[in-house]
Amino acid sequence: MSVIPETTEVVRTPGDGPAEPATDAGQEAPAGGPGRRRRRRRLVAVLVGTLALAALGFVLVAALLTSTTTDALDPDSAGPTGSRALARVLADHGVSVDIARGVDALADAGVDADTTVVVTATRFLDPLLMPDIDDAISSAARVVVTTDDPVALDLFGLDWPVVGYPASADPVAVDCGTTDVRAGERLGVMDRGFLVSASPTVLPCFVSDGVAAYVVTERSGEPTLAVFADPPAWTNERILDGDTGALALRAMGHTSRVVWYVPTLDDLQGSGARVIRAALPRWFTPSLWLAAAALAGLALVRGRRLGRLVREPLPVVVRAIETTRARGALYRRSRDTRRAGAILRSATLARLRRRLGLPSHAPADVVAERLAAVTGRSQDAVAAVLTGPLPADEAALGALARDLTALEDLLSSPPRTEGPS
Amino acid sequence: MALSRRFPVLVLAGVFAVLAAPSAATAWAWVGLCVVVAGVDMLLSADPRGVSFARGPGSQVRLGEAASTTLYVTNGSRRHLRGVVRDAWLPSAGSSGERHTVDVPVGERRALTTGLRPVRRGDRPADHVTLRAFGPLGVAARQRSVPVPGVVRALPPFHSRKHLPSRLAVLRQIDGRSAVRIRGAGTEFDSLRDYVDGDDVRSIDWRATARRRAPVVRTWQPERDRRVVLVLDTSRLSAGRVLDMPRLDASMDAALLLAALASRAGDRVDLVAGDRRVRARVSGVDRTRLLAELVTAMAPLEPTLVEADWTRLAAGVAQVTRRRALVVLLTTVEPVVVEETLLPTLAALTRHHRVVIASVADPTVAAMAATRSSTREVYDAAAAERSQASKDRVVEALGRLGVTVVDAPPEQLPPALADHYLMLKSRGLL
Repeated sequence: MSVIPETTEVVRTPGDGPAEPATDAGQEAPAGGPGRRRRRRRLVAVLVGTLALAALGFVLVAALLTSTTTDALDPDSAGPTGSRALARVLADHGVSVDIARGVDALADAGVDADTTVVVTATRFLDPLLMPDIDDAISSAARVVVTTDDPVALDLFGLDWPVVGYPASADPVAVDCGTTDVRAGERLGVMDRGFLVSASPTVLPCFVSDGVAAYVVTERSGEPTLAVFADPPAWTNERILDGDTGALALRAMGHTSRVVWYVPTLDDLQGSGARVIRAALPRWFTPSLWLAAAALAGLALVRGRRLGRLVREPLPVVVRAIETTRARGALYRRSRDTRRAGAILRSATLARLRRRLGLPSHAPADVVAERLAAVTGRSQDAVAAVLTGPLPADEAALGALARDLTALEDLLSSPPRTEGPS
Repeated sequence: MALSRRFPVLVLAGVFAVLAAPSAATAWAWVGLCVVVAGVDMLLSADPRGVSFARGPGSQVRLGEAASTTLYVTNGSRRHLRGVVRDAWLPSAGSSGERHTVDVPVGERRALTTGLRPVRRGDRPADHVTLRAFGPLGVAARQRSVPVPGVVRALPPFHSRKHLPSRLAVLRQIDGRSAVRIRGAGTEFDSLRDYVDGDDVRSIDWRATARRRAPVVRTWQPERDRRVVLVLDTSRLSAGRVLDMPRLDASMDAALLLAALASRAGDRVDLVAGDRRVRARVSGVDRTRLLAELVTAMAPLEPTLVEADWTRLAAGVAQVTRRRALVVLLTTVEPVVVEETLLPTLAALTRHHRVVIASVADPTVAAMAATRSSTREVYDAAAAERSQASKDRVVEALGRLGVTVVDAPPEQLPPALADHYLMLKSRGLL
């Protein structure tokens, strides 16, 4: 992943072409220079990108966390949508209020026959968690739920339709068979209610046109279930409307202890794993721990060396050719075409003198004359190579080098027949 | 403290316990049990401190050939020793099978043999010996490492010995020829043998032929008991690698071939090796033991990254012999070095001795000079030609001093030097 466009490769021209200075400069620069700079720039880009991504992720997670706070109807929340007033008043009346945040806390709360479980934030109940919740609250004396959500009702095993509450008048209570409600009490404005008909175990209250605002269900062997249809009414803001507060206190105050279950984000996230764990055989997790322990043991086995690593001082590697190569690089960097040409020419002259049987101090034009005579080449052409001006640029140097080699080849392999002419 | 693979297997076996009583507590209890078992097993192992080691004599081997080393394990503890012994060597000692499973009853001794195949010349020492003594269950062990000194000496490989038979044949031919050249003076009568085609008819011994009724020739042996002093340069120049081999190794190869040849020819061979000081010296050795002494002296030599002190090396030559000798300098003709340090010394040396320089040439220089297809290569070719030219100039200067330079690539240097020696021998120039 790189934001920076690839730098274009330096074009390599063959040595004989007219070498452009810029091209050759790129070629000549030590391999480390531009490559290292490019690598460093790429590294910076990657670093900046990573940091930006991390910051973005942090902001997103923070936004998600704050947007899904579940403080509506929270017994600890003093805001307009919280329910702290209710919890405080309950406590003032001698009821101990324990707040259970999360399924695990609810299971550990020690719910018994002298306990009422209150569930207000039904919006965050997870269907996958219901078996656990049911387990935890099965021994309670009473369960108080406030919801207007048919899904939540369904979770508690109730299939009443949720309908709009008749808007005729404030709901007024008549005696409906439960001590929670006293005749003549009024509620604030209701939005919704449950369409439910009375029976010996189902006691609808605040009924208007068959729509009830509060229903108490007696169930054999299970806690009594009290459901209130208007969750916003139990918030700090509206608890004083009519006799709402009195109803709520009475609904929750049957026992000396209240466990107020508040679903948390962890519940929602952990619900899948909880279900999978429940589906696995019981020996699976312990076996997994054993396997982990065995793996750790294997790491110990493999980690202990049988004696130390043996170190050996190694000799320095010096290539004998290095000085010669360095000299070549020096010529190249200084573009000393004249010197290079002169050296090549004198080397060729020395070899030609030996082969032509000339003394080692014979001048170049004598060698040229002799060579032309031996090979039958024109003396001017040979003399141009051996005594002409020294090359002024790299193209001329390349040409001179080839010409010199050709002259030597001429002498060393005369019998070779030339190609078709 | 060390565990074996049985430990994780033992831990995994706890799955059966978990199947019987599926709970996390079972798992952790089993792991705890395993730890206890391992601890007890370790305590029941033989005490490594009671076990003693000794090593057989060190070995010498030509580089590239196999040797072995023997390690004796004596169980002086109070328990039966079962375990693993690792006889660790330097990587370049090329050890194979260095891990041994041992089972030694109380008070007994076992020999363990580790194969060695050194990959670098010189003394390759052993590292620690490590003993891991397992308990009766083989789950846990006690471990201890002790240094047990040992060394394998990797001698120079002497690859050039393949050239020896052909050069010895030439030496035998010289016998006759030198008798022809300088008949009488300086040659010694050796023996009579049957005439074979190619023998000089002038060497036929007529009296013997008459007795035998078949042609018999006299053979002569060339001058014997001349001195050859090999001076091996171990300075920075010898560290340079030619064809991925240090020049020093090529020089050693050449020195060994010459020594073998000269000792067969009846000459006395001495060696002086060094850089700023003399690092090895072999002199006055019986010819039957000469080669062994030479390779042993050469084995531990490594190139040092300092300049050679030729005055000191020349002094070393003077200590070896006061008589006229053939002094062979095994070094490299490097123009700057030769001009600054070697030439003054050579001037003194050539007054008493015949001096030959055997120089390891780099064939890549010639290849570089001939490759001229790109601009870059042309510059390199110029550099190579320049190196070659300055070297030629130095060789010429040395020649004026009476010093011969034998300059050849590593492969060809030993035979070239040997041939030069034979040439000197045949002309009676020693």
